[in-house]
Amino acid sequence: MKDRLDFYNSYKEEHRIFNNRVQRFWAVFGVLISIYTLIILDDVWLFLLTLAMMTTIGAWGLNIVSGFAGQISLAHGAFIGIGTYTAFVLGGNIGSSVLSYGLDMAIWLPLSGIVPMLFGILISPVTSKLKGLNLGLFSIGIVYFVLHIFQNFRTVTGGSGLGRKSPDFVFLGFNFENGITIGNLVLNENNLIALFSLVILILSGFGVKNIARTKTGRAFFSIRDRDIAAEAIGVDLLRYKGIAYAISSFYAGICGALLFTFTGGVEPNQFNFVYSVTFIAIVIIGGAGTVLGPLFGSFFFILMPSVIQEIIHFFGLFEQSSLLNLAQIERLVFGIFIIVFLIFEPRGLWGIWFRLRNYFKAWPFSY
Amino acid sequence: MTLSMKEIQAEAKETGGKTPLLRVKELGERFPESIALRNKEFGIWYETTYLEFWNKCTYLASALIDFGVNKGDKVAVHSENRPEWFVSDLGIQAAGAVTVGLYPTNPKSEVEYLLGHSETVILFAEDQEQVDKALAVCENLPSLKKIVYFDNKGMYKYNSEYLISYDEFLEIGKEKLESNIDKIFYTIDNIEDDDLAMLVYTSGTTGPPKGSMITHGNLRWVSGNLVTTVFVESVKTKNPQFLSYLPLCHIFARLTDLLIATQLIATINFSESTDTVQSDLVDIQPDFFPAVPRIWERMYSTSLVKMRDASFFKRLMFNFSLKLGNIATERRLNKSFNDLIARILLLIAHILSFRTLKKKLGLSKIAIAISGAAPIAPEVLKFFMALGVPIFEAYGMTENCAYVTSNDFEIIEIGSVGRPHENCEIKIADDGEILTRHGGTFKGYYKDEKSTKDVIDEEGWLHTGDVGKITEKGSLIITDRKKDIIVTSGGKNVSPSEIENKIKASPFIKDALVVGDRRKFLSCLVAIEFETVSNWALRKKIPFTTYRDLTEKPEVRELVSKEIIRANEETSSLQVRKFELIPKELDHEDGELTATQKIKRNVIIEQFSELVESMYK
Repeated sequence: MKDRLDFYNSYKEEHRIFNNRVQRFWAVFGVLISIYTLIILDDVWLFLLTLAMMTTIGAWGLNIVSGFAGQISLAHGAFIGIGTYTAFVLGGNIGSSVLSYGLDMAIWLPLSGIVPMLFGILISPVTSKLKGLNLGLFSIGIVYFVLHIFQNFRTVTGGSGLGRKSPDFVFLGFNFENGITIGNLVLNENNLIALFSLVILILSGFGVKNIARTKTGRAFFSIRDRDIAAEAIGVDLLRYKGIAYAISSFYAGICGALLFTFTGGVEPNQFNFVYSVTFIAIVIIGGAGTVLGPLFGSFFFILMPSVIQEIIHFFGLFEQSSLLNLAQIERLVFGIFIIVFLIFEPRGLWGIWFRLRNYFKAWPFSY
Repeated sequence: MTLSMKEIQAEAKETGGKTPLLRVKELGERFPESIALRNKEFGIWYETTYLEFWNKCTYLASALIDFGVNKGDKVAVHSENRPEWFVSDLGIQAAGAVTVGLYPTNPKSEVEYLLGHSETVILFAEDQEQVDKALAVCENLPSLKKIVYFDNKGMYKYNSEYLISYDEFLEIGKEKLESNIDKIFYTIDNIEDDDLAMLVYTSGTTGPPKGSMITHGNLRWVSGNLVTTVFVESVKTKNPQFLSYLPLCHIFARLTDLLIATQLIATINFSESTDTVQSDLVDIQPDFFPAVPRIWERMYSTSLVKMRDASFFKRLMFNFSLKLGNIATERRLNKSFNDLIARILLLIAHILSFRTLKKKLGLSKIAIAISGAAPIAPEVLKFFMALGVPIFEAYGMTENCAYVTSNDFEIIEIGSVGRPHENCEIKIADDGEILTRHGGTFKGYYKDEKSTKDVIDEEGWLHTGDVGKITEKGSLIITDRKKDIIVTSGGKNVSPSEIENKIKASPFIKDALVVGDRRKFLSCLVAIEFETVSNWALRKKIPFTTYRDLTEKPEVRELVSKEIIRANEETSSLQVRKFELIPKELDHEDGELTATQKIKRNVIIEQFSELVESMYK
């Protein structure tokens, strides 16, 4: 019955991530296209795509706690910061003025996820007890608390205004700087980092999808939709809220570690309140509570400014104008986009994708 | 691994055909791992192999013997389609007893009549609903000893001595199997051609139902000859998929779902319930799909109605594809089925629109689809042909095991029921009645010698009661039921079903009943299709509450009137001058329809006599 796409012998079969040949084909096809793109692109776009992929991981993290489990978190930036500094301390080059151990990425990358996760679990007894506005306020408190520590813990962070340099991409003894040559194909450092982030992106994507399709995910959704009802049907609120924070912080940490190692360094004030809000914007534009939404949102957020710039250049607009400079126009257009989305497509970019997909799914009918 | 169609044909030729009972026994030994039955529960399909299927049949037979069922005793099954139906059917026959099928919609008065008339000993009832019907009348049924129920839901508080659950029943059979197995095999080996296999009660548009006696010989003969028909020949995939949803007590479903399926070593899938047939069809995408015109009409009208709601571009694509499909259909009908241009046109239409449409209807894998049991409107038939579905109209009736004629890939004549199957003799009597003769002709009506003599003459010809003629190409055209022919007061002979089918081709009309016997002109009672008409009313912003309210709207009258005018233009015979809308939905339980959803003319004309008379004032 393999050629019958909607036929299931068990619930397990029905819940598989790719439950038929067509989906498997498109998944493999998509991955191959991505790899090809990451090999042929020039450095500017490659840089942006890599940033977007890394940001996606962070956005997924926020999506798990806010989109899936419905818990407001304005402290996502703080968790990203904790992950970042874990990576920097463990992986940083020995000999610099700040605390560094010079370890391999195979060690610091997982740990940069685990440390924020432990921090998330540490505060979860409090966050689990709070709801709505109170939870939001508490998370803002966390942001300022963590930020204060970052600014003053100079041996780790380099201190406010100075910051510190990032570790190198050295994975299992192999330094990405050296590049790889396979036959005629030369992969430089940027290609390798991009491909590496693609791997991490795919792994995290499977992680999110697996949460969404299993018991844990269903527990999250039920908490989001009505916490009292969820408790009544046997969902352990404390436990699942804790799990949501833990997984979310893990993703945040991985995102921070990759992102700032890639950009070359970080200054403590990076992780301020606005940084957390940025992630909320990404998740909302992309589509909260969906697996693909944060992916769309991150790519939109990272790539859109450059696209806007290209368009402005192309038409030669505003070049002589002294009223607005490029960066301001960029921000203006971006702001307009957010407003338009909230009004016309509250389900975000994913909503557009969803409607597009349904248009063809329903063919030749309309529903 | 199972057999290919060619190997199946060769084997059948050698053995001369096997009854479903012997066939399942054989398949259980030869292909124990092949999936025989599949049923859906809460979205998941559960499978039964041919070996398990056969084992369960023997358990059931052993239990029946344990409860004192003897050869020739009647055992009834009153259930929707589900694997237990087939297990019971074959288990009953393995014990030497005779299966009596009841329609799930039969009300308790009919249950009482059928069980009483057949002298049923044991009843297999599906669930609480059917058990309640039987328990309400069991005092009047002296022969009834036990009621076995399939579904435990709601049964825990009953403590009638009659009741036993299916699982317990099988368990008893399994325990006693050792002592009974010899007897079962002895019974099976000593089945004579003349022994009864089943009683099939015809739904009876007039008078009480009559029990047709189908023998093991009938089944064996039909099975042996079926393999040469287009039904078997066109299914080329190994282990084809069937969907069983038509009522199994009717001969059409028994023929397709049991005889043809077991011949083809198919998997028989049972839908979750009658309401989910459409979605289960999409799951299974059967290779073989028999349906009654009601089903085809429904698919046709829902497709068109949904298409009307589609966006402009999608409609454009669909209409274009349909145009191509129609051209292809004409070419297929006039030239040959494998006409190259027709194939190319259908391929384009397939890519543009029909691939997904067929998938949504569950028709994407169809090797052959059959329309039978009632006449189908040509528009509907042509629509499915335009989609590229090989759909053929076939003809048959209970009394000849539904083995008579069908259209096939070589000759398709729209409006005819096709050429006779191999070894089936057909002739038209002087009065136009169709007569058939072959090895599948039934033994007679149970306890009704007189009726039997009326339908089978000394030469063995079966008088079908249908009037028809044979075309130049050898296809049979059925005009009407002999007794339904209307003679107007002007002396004209009119076949009502011809006009009715024209009228019923409208997506807004569910049933039409033309009256005019000994009257000056023809008039018509019309039952609207609630779903499409209510949809239409919503779109036109016509407020309504109930079915009755809807029928009283002048706009709806006008809508129907347009459809009747259209039908009048298309018909060659007398025209319908007046019509009235029937103010209620016709229903089996109210006695207006038979269990197979055919209208009972006399009942309706009598019940709505005021409406009828008002048209002739």
